[in-house]
Amino acid sequence: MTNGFYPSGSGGDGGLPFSVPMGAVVGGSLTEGVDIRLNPTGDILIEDVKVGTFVTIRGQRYRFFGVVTDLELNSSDARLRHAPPDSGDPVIMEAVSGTMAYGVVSVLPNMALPLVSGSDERPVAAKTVPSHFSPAFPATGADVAAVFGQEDERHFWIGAPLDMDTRVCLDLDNLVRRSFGVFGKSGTGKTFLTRLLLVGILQGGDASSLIFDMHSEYGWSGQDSDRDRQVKGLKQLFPSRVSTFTLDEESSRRRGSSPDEVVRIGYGEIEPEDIELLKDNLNLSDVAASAAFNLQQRLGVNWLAEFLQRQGADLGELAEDLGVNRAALGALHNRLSRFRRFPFLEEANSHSAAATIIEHLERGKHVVLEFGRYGRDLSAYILVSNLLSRRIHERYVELKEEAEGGQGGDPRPLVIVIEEAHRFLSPSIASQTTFANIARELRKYNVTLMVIDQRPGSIDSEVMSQLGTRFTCALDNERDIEAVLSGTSGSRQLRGVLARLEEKQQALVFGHAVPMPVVVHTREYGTPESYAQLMERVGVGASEAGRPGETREERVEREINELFG
Amino acid sequence: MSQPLAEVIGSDSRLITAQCYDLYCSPQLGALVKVGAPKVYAVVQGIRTEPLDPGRPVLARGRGSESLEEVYRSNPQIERLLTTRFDALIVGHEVDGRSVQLLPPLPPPIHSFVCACTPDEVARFTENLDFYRFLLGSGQPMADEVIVACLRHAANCRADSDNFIKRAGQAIASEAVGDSVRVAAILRRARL
Repeated sequence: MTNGFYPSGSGGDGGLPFSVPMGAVVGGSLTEGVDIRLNPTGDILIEDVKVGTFVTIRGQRYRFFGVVTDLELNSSDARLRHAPPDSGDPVIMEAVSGTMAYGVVSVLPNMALPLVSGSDERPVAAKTVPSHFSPAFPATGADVAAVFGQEDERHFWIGAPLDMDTRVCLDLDNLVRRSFGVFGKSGTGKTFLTRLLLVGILQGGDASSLIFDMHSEYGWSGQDSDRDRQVKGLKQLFPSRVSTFTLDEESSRRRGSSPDEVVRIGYGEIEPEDIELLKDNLNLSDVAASAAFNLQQRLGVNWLAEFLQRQGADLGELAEDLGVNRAALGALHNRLSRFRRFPFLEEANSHSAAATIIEHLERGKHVVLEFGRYGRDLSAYILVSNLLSRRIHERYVELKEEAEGGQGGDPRPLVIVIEEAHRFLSPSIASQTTFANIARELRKYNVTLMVIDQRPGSIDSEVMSQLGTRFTCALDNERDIEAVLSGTSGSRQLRGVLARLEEKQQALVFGHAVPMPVVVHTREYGTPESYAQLMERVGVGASEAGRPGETREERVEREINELFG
Repeated sequence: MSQPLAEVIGSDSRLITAQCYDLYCSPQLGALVKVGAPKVYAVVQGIRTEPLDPGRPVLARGRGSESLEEVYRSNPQIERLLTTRFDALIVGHEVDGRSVQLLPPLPPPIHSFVCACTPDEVARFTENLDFYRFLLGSGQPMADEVIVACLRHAANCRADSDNFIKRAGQAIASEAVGDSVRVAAILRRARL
């Protein structure tokens, strides 16, 4: 393995600490992290150390595993700042550098490992700090593996730590047990990271996922705009385990996808709560939005279809009848008339899309709902995803209650994936959406959320606090950074790490799925090798039937050939 | 043992005063000397030539003479009335045949012989740079001049003089961590 710290020719593999430490602990605290003064005679310069990389500190009783959170240039003589030595004199520079002027590395010790590598003791969260002058070493691949686990059925390789070739793995059980979020400004690799996570969930085996695929990029194929190439979606990689649903059959066919189901929604399935949620998008006043509840009370289940049929004077009468403002009702009618442009909405629909989706999910399938051209209309996205999620959530609550009453097994855990989450979960409407309920109820009903968003600062803080694991690509906005790090221990130190993430393929991961915060260079997705690696993973394919007499290697080979021709 | 060039006439735990056998034949400022047996090592930190009898001050005698040599030739008694003495700061001693950079348990006895160290001995002793701590902390007004002289003396006794100056510079900087100006001045002058 390699690590950016390692000077050429030095050892450090096999979990053994380096013979020459990079420095020693000279101060600090558990909450603020410890300070490591770089060794003046060592080969590691401060320029070799990067924020977000890992360090092992050999204490008296534990080996502490931590992450570099800050770097500081310090000096023992304040006059150096005002009268620096002649930089053209190498003897004086060498004498002063590392002795009077030295580098300090701030390390947040997160985990305590047993002193002896390979011991049976598990790494535990650090509740103490290494003693004074404990030597610090760049972490080795074995240290990283001891902390993050080896890749197996329960641990999914998500990427590599900064400047290391070793693998950082997620605990999939812990990941799906609570809602989690993927954040980052546009173009930082959220979609690629999400694809990887979805593959991980798919391979973990225990949970199903329902993906509201706004831009139709997860199901069949997606676009890698940076490299100007198509990347494969879940359905292409795992055809037998993924069902694709579509709202826009034409778009799906044009993209070469053959959806399993075309989703149609009846007007009767739309409820006033859905309209309330669309208040901002439809530019409705509070009065107009709440008139929908009056309409439902008066007109019954099929209130929307009936309401849209009314015209002119009829509306006036209805407003009078309901006791609502006539102009407000007119505005509501006007805005809701836009729904007529959605061909997936039908006046009479006997076939419940939610029921079909649930049926697929219960069979252990992963469902991708492609929005096609309607993905560009946020109202359609919010309406459909909220409506379907509400139905599915209700069904899961029933199933769970039946299971508690001894009438069947627990429903299979479900992860619902939503994009542009701040539109659903903003503080003003969070209380009314199914998604906020799901986030709050946690795993009680075996349904959790995967929230993908570029404006986490606009998501309700209560919902944010319920996210168990957060994956954060680069963010610029202070409010967004604040929101992502809220409620996290060591958030001040992580802020520095987050602010320095590269624009592409890097993410800060922290929360339940990883034992400690980690910056990962996310693994490759989109090359034939990456697809092969994703499908080769340990334990994959338990439900993918191989052909009789076919070994696992042969099956992988065949599937690759099938995929790439 | 090489030829003694002086004899201890005053001694305490950190400093010896020696009288040279020959006028003006003192080891140079900053030179490493060895005293008695077992050896005590010291760095010359001040040299002076003065009347043997403090009650008989030196008088000017050169009026009309052409050169300094002529003054001494015309006044042969001068060499009997004057003497050269020097002070040396103790920086180590010998234990079981090896030198350690610690003060000796007892100061060298009066009349101990003082010899100059050979370049090899200087190179061996100065391999360890802890003795600069004694020089930096001597508290005498010329301490830095002595350190500069000692550095130059030790560097001249070895082939890798540049490397030695660098190492010594780091050792001095580690000792005087709060005084960058002093360290820079020492190192700058050590290479003049």
